[in-house]
Amino acid sequence: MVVDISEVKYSYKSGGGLLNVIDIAKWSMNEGERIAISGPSGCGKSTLLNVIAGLLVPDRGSIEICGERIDKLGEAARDRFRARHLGYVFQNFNLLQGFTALENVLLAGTFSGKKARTSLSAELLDRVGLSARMHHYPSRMSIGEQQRVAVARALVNEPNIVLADEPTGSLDPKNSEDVVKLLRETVAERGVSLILVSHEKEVVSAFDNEVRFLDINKAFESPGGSE
Amino acid sequence: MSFFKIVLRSLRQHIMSTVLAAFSIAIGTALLITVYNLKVQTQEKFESTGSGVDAILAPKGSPLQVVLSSIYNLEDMPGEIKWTFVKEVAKSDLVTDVVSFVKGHSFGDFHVNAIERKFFTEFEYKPGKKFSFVPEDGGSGRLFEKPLEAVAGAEAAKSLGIKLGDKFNPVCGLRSGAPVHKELITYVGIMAPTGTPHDFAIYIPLTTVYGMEGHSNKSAEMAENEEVRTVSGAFIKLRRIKVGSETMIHPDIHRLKYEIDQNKGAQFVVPNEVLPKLFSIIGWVTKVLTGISILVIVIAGLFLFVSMYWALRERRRNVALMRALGATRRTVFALTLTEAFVIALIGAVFGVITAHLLLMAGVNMIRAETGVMLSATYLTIADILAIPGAVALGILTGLIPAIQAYRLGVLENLRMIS
Repeated sequence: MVVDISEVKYSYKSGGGLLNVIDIAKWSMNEGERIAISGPSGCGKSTLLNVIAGLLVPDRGSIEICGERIDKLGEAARDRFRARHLGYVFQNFNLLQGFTALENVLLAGTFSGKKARTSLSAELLDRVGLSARMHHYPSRMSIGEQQRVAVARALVNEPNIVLADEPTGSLDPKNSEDVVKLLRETVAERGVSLILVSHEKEVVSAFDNEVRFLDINKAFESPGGSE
Repeated sequence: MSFFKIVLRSLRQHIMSTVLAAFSIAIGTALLITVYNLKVQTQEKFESTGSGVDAILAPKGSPLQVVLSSIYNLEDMPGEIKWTFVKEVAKSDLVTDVVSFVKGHSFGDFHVNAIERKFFTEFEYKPGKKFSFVPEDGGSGRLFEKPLEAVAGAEAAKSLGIKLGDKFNPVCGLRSGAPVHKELITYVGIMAPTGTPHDFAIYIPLTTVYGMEGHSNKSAEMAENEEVRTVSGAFIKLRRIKVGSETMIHPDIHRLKYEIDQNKGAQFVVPNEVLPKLFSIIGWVTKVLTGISILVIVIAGLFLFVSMYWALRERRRNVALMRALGATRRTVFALTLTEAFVIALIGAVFGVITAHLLLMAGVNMIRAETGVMLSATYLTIADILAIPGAVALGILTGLIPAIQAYRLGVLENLRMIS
């Protein structure tokens, strides 16, 4: 299992009280699995992704990623773990503006402590159809192209899991379809697991296993059988 | 991708503020180095130039004026002293040699000094360095022998385009518009460069000056009658004693000075005692300039801080992205601090280069105005401390933005992204 969550609760202060955002009794994900999490805005989809990424620490419970209890790690260790084992694709403004497409991909490699991955970065950019735009700056690229660079960057450290948080939120339907297809294909080619968060039905329906994230106080359910 | 490349890319993203911050540090550093360098070199140069002359027998007046006039050719002498008195002082067992001179003439902005011939044969312009006219040293011709002959200092000759055999009429006075003597004096020698104010003067035989047309009858009498003769002053070489392995001026110099200073019309001036007074006079100028330079550096530091601070505000998204990609707090702290370090380093390096370019222009100007030759490549402690100092300033000013980067909340700033 690449993700194993049990008895996880995460809440934050809101209006003088505590707001339970995540309350998951048990959930796991197998290696190579591709899962989409959907639900209305504010239901905690991104929070779950951030807990899995180690950007948030749950109030209680255990989160095991690739056999490592990340909730037990210190912050710096979680950062390093994230760099080595996880790839991240955000909704938009994914790239550092002062860096070329290739440098944006290489940058992720820098933080993982792995050796310079210039050839792999170039290969990934080629795979996402941007071999001719490797040395272009984000300002010279369309949002769709920037998202494709982000996909390449998420894969450069050969992660175990790619986390995609509303990756199509800023894209038109055509680009949205292309990016989702690219994500699914590239992770499948490399045997990487994928957790995609989206509120768009079209995006979610493209996945074999769909996990619905209903609402903040209800159980985490999985119609596709991942529970 | 190396850590340093990330820093450079980040700086390039804010190229305008990076360049302006580095530029302001460069200006501050350059000013500080230039002011300090000129101060140190000038002091050193003034102190060493007079080393061939132990003391000056001069008329009563400002000792500083005496030194500036007799050694640096920057002023006129305050008056005259009797030749017979000079001869009397020369008999002292503490004095090994005396050379009389008369100031007050000029040609083409250069002082024309009438002086005894032995100044060029018995005195040194620097310890162990005697005047030379041989081509191997850069000189030409010979020392004057007849009354209407002259020798020119290397820079005076170069500036006036003097060739051996050329003639000139000395001006009676040091200001333009003063009367010109009718005597035509011929250049018979051009001195090899000495790197001292002697390069910026023209020398004629001492007795020539008395008989010049236009001077009074009394002056003409001075040429023949030593009893009535006066001079502007006399350079004195004092007896030395050995103390251990070192040679030093006889300690009884103070007795001699006391005796001479009792004389109503004369004083005993020791250049090495007078020059510190000059430096204390010009010291406040140096202090003001140094203060301005430090102020510029402080402002440059503040500018660097403000530009780093605002750059970070703009770059919160980038820092949050890096953190999300796995950069630790220490990494983003180090990246931000290194940016400040690099800006300060670039500024300091350019500051050192600019300082020496400014010095290049400055030394030419000082040389033209005063005859004091300074070097543009001379290094002082300011050059050595400039780079580490500016870097320390960079680190100091980069510390707060770096701490902000360290403490930056990833998720708050990631919300700007997702």
